Amino acid sequence: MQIPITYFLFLSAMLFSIGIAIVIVKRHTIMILMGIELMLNAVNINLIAFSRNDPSFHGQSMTLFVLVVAAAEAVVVLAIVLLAYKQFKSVNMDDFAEMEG
Amino acid sequence: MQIEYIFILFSVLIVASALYVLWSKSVVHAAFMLLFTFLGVASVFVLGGADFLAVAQIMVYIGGILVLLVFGVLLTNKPNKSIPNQSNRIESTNYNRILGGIVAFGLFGVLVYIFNKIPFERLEGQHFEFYEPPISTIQSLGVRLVTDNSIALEAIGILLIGALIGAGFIAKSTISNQLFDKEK
Repeated sequence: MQIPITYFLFLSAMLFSIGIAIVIVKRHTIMILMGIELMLNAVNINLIAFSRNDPSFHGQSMTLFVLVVAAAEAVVVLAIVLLAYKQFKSVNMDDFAEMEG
Repeated sequence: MQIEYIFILFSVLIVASALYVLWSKSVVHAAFMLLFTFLGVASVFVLGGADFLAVAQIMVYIGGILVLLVFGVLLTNKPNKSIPNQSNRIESTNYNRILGGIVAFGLFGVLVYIFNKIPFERLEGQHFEFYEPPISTIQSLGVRLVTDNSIALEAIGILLIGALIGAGFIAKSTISNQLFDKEK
């Protein structure tokens, strides 16, 4: 007996909503990155739920690519945060008002 | 059915730890709670029949991204030297709580409404005949990766190399400057 697909969908909807709330509410740059990762995880859950009965594995391949892009994104965000901390002495999003070299 | 209870158990784990990330002010506590979210998502992948992706999730997210997050928190932390013996809490302030709540609940409501409208169960039965899932998805996933999705695989490889070189180039001078400042 399989798990009904609506379970996966409700779980991913909850996770996506929590992620977007974190992105809106938090001001720490790394907390915002955590929210983005939660949203990517919710999308991955949806992709896997829909490709569950699909013999061609398109959804699972897509999930693999999302994983790789999330890793690359985290690396680039960490580098940007380090540079911005050097420039502004802060990791608060509101302090990044000016963006000059 | 027992497997549904297991799924609900892991869902509660995921949602509770994600809500802790939302409520907590301490960034380090949030990073550690994110561990349970990622573990729960990996187990949901297993329940969805994607065993290789569950392992990849644990390796990439917990072994890579979470460590990177904690690393970033530690590198951008500036303890206040003037106060001796202070507890070194790294905190994040919360703004826009009402706006965040409205957007999150609105999005959740819209998504639930859509999911209730569409009869996914019937669609699933119509478009996919039931087939016996393979014991392991690794072989078919790997074959798909180098045949149908080979261009995407190449693009992802180039993206990863670019991200690696760029991040190293950007962060190199920063970290050496910080270490040099500390020695001075």
